[in-house]
Amino acid sequence: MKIKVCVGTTCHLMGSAAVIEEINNFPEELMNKIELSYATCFDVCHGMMKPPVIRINDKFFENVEPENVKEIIENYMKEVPGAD
Amino acid sequence: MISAVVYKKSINHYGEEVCGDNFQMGRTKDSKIIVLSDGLGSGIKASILSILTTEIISTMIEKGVEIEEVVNTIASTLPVCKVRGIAYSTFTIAQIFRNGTVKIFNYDNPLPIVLKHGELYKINFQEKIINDKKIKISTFSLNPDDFIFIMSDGIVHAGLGNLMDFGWGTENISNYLKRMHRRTRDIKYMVDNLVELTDSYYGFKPGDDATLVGVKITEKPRAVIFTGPPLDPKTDNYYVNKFLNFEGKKIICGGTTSNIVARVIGSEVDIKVDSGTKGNLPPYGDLKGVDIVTEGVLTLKALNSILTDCKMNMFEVDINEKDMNAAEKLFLLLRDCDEIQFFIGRKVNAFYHNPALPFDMSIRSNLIRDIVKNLERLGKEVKLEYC
Repeated sequence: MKIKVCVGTTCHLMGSAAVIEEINNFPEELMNKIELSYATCFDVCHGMMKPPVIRINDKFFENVEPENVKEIIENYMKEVPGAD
Repeated sequence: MISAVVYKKSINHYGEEVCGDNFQMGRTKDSKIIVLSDGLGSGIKASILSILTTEIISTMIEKGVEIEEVVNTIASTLPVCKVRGIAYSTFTIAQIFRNGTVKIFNYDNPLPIVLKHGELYKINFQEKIINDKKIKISTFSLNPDDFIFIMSDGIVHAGLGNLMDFGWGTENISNYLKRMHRRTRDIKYMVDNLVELTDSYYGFKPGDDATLVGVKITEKPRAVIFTGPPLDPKTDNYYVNKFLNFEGKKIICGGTTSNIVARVIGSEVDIKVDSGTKGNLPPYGDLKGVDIVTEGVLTLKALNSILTDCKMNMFEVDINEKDMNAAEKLFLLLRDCDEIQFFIGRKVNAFYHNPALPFDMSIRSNLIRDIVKNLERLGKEVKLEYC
């Protein structure tokens, strides 16, 4: 499962670094299923989505916080069987 | 295109407030000129004598007088001390041309040390007698990553009568520099290290003013910074191509801007997961054909604050190269450049006006204006193009 975290200006200001830190602290079992990378800007925040934004495979998620990132990823895995 | 990074360090004669050596840098259309002068004696008198010499030389060169003519004038007018029979000041001039040619004029200073491909290069000097003064002149060519070290006799005589009989001498200094070159190519480190050693040979009470000027030959003395998307998206291709065809280092500051460039060249930005994020800056990355890609406004703001910390030149700030954030990386790239071109996109990111943002997001152009002011103050030539 490919996870891309936006590290553009607005996402960074709204806390994407904390989200990255949270992902890096995931239990190994979950971490093994994730391929983490960064993106400069998805160009989706201009009035459309609320930063920080992450992309799991091809789907964007907005307003991601350290508190809810794990839930978002786990929900995605449930919704899309075989995503991992 | 060839240019040079120049870094100088001096130590004063023990107990003196000012240095009797003076160093100045000048520029002509196709070359960079470095002048070091050593005034007779030490203290304020020596300082004034050496400042006079460097000031005359660099002013004449800036006014367009040929360097040979300048040397003639100085040699013909420099007074000689009646008591000691030596000139009031000595000098070395190095002129580095864009095509890699180097000209050296040396009058009574220790001969410069040149490292070419990491080996000591013996300079063949021709001698010219002007007004009873023997001027040594040499022309040769150097490549990027070669070094020239110009010094006053205070460096060469360190240790005289103290640790060594005749000071540590040009030969020992040459070998020391050559050994150091195997460990590092950092001009600031090399010069600082050698001057510190000189000071220790004097027992930290220097018997003379000592100055070392390190010159590192570099290529790509120009850089271009593309920041912000162009106002009209139809002109994207035009500006990206202009940016990519620029001869020099290519820097992109801005997420959307990097996406535009990546789209035009059909590649993807690779943000390094392990790049330094010290000082809470976003990470930086690579793109095909581009030297560095960073985030925009925050990184530029951090860059401006490092530039503001530099009072006289860009070597005043120490940067740990093992752990650099995006702004420090940019700073080092710019430090080696003479000319910096900006492409400033005027499209406004709507989200920056969002009151929900917890930070003061000053408008890009104001920030660039401050950076330009700082770069010009630090001796860089800056050009702006709004797009």
